[in-house]
Amino acid sequence: MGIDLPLIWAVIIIFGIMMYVVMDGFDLGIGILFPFIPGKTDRDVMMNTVAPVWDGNETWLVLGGAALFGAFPLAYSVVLSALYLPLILMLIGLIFRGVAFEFRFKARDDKRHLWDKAFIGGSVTATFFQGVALGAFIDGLPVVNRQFAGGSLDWLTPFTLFCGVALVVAYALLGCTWLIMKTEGKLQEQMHDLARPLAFVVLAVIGIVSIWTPLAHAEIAARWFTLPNLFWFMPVPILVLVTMYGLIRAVARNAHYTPFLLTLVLIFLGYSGLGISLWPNIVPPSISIWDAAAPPQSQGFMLVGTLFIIPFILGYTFWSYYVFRGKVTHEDGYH
Amino acid sequence: MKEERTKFAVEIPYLGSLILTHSLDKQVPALKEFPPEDRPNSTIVFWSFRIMVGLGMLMIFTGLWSLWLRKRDKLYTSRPFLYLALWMGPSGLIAILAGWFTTEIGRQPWVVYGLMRTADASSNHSFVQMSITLILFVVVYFALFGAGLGYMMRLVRKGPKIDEGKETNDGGPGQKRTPARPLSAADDSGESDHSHSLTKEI
Repeated sequence: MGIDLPLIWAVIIIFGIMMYVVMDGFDLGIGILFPFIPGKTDRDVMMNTVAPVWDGNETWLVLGGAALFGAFPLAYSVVLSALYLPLILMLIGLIFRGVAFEFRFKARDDKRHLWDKAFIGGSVTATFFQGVALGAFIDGLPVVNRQFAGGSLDWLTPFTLFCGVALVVAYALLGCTWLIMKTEGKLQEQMHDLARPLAFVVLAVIGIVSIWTPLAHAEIAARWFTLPNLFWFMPVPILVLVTMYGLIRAVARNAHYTPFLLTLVLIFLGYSGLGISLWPNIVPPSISIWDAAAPPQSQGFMLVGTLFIIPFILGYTFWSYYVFRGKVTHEDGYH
Repeated sequence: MKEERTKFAVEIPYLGSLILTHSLDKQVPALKEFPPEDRPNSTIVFWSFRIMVGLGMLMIFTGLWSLWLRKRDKLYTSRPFLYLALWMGPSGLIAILAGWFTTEIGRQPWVVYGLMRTADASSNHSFVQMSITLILFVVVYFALFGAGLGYMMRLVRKGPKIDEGKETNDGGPGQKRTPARPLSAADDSGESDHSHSLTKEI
């Protein structure tokens, strides 16, 4: 067989989830940062920086889910069954914050605080449970007879809860540096002040997750710390430290664009570290992308459509960011 | 349903055969030819289908009536028609839901026709887990739809604007010309445009 279809599909899904994490990451981060910024006009600006693009960002979540369903139905059924509760709670969070985008601008002054709360609560809930789901995924899902064989609360462990908090902090940093890029004046200054402590907290949680994961999983430790591998993978933690140093420096010299770009690099590095730990399993700890693949006919058929549509998605995504480039002030409104 | 009889029948010969088998004389398999365990709940399907079709007929009737009234210049003043139009407001939503019920209940007990039953396709989640999440969704949707409905009612009370599309605002930086989202299409800013409201004229 010439073309490794499961591999291509794994790359598409990994790419889709990556796009989702960085893009929805910063707009969820806006909601997480809302409590730090109490003023109405500042909050309007914060929301307006993402109002034109946030729902496009969630396209990637849909793409990732649909691709998983079509290309790896076994993984889809196991992962979604195992993580049923955290994913449903994530959806409820996304519903609340999605609606808050519409209603906050329509609400009367006495009701607006409700939609502020819906936005904050929805963003934090969605992010936290994404992190929990990720943690449970790393922890591995027991499978017997091609079915999830664990309990409905298996996802609830100290490690997964910590992953939830970690993702909230990471998205907050993404949102914070996004706002540094997209706003000006006092709001931008407040974000500058917030970026430094946030960056250190992110470094701390990355460190803790990086130590906790191999301690809890011998096979992940073996992947990283056996000898030839160690040299290949060493650049990841080193680059994390270098990026973090650059980020702190960029914040210190009041750069506008660099902090956000470096945070993207940071998220990308964390994501690669995760990939190194789990590859080639699509359902850790034992089901690989080849075990879980749909028949080649299905994967090939869907690939044609997907390869046709992805350039369009990338095109309009790029276009919408280009159209809404530049600083957002409180006179603008695109909602 | 137990008697396996159709009360309240409306019959158009040949049409069902034409739609389902693409010919005028082939036979459509009757419900009774399927074993009882392969049948959907015909009572619900019977009524949801008729609600959908009935509302569709009412919509056509409303359209024709409005044309007739318009020709006689009474479109905006005929009280019975305006009340009908008001009450027809939610008809689209109800008809869609009824149609959805018809297809989704009508295809039971199969999730993939002839291959997999719905009962075999479901995940083995506990009853408690499914109940809690279902209730959660119902509560969340009622809360959010309630808020949305409240907002729509606020717009309805204000009434429509006349001369829509003839605004002097030409758009440009900082001036919205076309709304980006459905709910933004209705302008609810300021109370001054009440004078343009059609409701005052009636």
